[in-house]
Amino acid sequence: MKKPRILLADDHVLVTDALKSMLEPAYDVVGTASDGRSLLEMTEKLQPDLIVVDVGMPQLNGLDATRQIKRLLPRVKVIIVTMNEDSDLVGEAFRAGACGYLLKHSAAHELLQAMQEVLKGASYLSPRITGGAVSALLRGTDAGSEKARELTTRQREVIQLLAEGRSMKEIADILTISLRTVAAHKYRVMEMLEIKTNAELYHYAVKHRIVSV
Amino acid sequence: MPAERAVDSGIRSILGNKLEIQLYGEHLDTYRFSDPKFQAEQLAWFRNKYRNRAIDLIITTGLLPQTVLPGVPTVFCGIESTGLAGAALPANSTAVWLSPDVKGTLMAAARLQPTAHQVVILSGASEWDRHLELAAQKTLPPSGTNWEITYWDGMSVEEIRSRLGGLPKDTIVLYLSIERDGAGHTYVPQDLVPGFSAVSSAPIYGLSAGFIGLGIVGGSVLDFEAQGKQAAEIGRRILRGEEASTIPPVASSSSYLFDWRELRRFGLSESALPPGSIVKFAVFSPWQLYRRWILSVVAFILLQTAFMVYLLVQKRRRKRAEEELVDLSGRLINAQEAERARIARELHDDFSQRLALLAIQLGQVSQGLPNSDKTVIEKLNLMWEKTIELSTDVHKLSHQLHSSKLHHLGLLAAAKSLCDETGKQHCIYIEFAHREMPEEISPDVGLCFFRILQEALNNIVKHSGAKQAHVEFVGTASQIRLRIVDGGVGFDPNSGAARGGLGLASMRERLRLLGGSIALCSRPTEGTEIVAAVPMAH
Repeated sequence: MKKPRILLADDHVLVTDALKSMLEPAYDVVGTASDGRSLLEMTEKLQPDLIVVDVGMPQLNGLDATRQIKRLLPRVKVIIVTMNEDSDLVGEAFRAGACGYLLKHSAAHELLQAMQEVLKGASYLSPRITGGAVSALLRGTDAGSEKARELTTRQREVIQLLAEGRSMKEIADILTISLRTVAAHKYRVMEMLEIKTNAELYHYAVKHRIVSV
Repeated sequence: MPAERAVDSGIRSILGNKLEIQLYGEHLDTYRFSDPKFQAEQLAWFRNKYRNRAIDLIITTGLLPQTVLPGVPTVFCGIESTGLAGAALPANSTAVWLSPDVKGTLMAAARLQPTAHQVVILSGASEWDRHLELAAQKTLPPSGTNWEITYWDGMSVEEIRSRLGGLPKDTIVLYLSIERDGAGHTYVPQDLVPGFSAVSSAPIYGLSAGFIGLGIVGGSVLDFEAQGKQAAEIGRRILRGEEASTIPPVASSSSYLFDWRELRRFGLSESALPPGSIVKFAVFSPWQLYRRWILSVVAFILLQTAFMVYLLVQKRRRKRAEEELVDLSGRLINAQEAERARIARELHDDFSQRLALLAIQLGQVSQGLPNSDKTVIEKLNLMWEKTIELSTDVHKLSHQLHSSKLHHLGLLAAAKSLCDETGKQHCIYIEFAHREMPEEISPDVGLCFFRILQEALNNIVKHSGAKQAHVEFVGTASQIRLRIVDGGVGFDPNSGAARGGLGLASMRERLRLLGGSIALCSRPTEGTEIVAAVPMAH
């Protein structure tokens, strides 16, 4: 039987290396990405069966990348592996389209099992995530997140890149769009969110987990 | 006559008030009653009066040298040596000669009025008046002067007075004596002085000390009291047994005496007075009278001012030092925060990732072992758990050092989460509330409150033993207030341990930098309440 094709995404190369060596015998690790944007490109190109993705990544965060991947390739499964023990994040992750959620340090114990479950079509939530996650899931989402989800994918991308401190020119290059389009996105977002300064934009991005800290 | 009274008082000052000496005074008035026949009768009368009195000494004034009481030693004074007219003194007698110093007086006048060349000599018609005038004429004009000398000696007092008013200011007037004027009226010479002085447009000089103070400028004057003293001194020697005729006659000395008011009136300079001059009736200016006082007071005020300036300078220096201190402590706090943030980032980005990696690798090792190696697997799992614990602790430490939540989500979110975490970790029920807090809180203020809350919660956990605490943020129009209350054991805020602690000091310092304040209220067994406030302006 053909081994499932796996794509790994984490900005810490040592971690992807460790995960890769752990998965290699059973899976075909087709690539490793160190930021959200290259993850998108590689996903499109390599069409993996499953992606193991970290939340905190430059250029495009793991959750937004998941959202985009699920839209482009709904078939691809995503497992979130994160350092963050904040239970609020769990709900976000599943709503974004992830099928699994576990903590990075438990990877050795749980990742293989999680992958099996997810590839079978089930979901996986690490038992180490405390009860808070359940209540967070039950509580649903707050108004701010609603508003955040009203933003288009492109708008969220622009916000993250701006929040990462990139110039408009850089953003235009990364997204391969014109400078004027970047500017248009930016001002549209600021208008929508009633934001006036870059600092506020940054706070917004952090608050709604568009960038991680 | 004033001169006689002055001599009398001089004598009494030496010989008076002594038990062994009995003084008799007799008024002969020889100046005004100079008729020799009358004087002889008068003498005879005296001789008769004192014939049984065993008189030991006679002092006369104004009496021409002659035998008064035969065999009684006599001192003559108040007359000029010229009165002897070449004859010798009577037996058993000596004298204190009177010598009017016309020359000295005019020389003094010349010094005071160097540009004067009009000199008027005022004199009368009596024997004594003429005698003085004659004496003056002998010395006038002094050599080296171009003085034009006028003698007013036959005029009535009224005429003199009317003429005095018309004199040019730069005239020297020498008033010798007027016992009888040209109109035949007799006067006491010194009584005329005030009247002359009042009308005169030029300074008037005189020869008698008695004139000083009545309106003359001054001069080399005869002091009759001094003369009386001189005579009395000689008399005392005679009473002790000295032979009168063996004591040589002496001349009375004149002294330069001036009236300060008259000098001022005519604008005559004191510095032009002859050396050794005495100036009487000086009206001293406050400066002259109280110079020492004034100088002391001025010195005191200056000292006081200098002291005040010194204090002000000190105060300013101190203020500057305090400002520098505030500035320094502000920079220290900022530096500390920056360093904390750097370490926190390092811990978060590097250490916790490496620990996660370590956990993964430990997990991998234990997963790769066959199930038979149970003890090793257990040990590895324990190590794995410890690594996760370590990772969690590092994560927490990182957040304590620098709250990314505070930075990104603001004070209230960070404070709430801090309360929740602390409560959860230490099993304390921490109630968190906030009212009317402003939307925008500056990062400085946020950090300040966050650190205070951290410190306070830390103290509650460590020292209070409280199971419950209340944290409340309140915003008002003027300030933001944080109140932290616990129901723990409390402490004595005045104890050394409480005051010496760095925690409270750093709370105070942070608040001071923002113009805020902190109030701490605690008593043993009654819990602790801390209220920190920062003004809204920040």
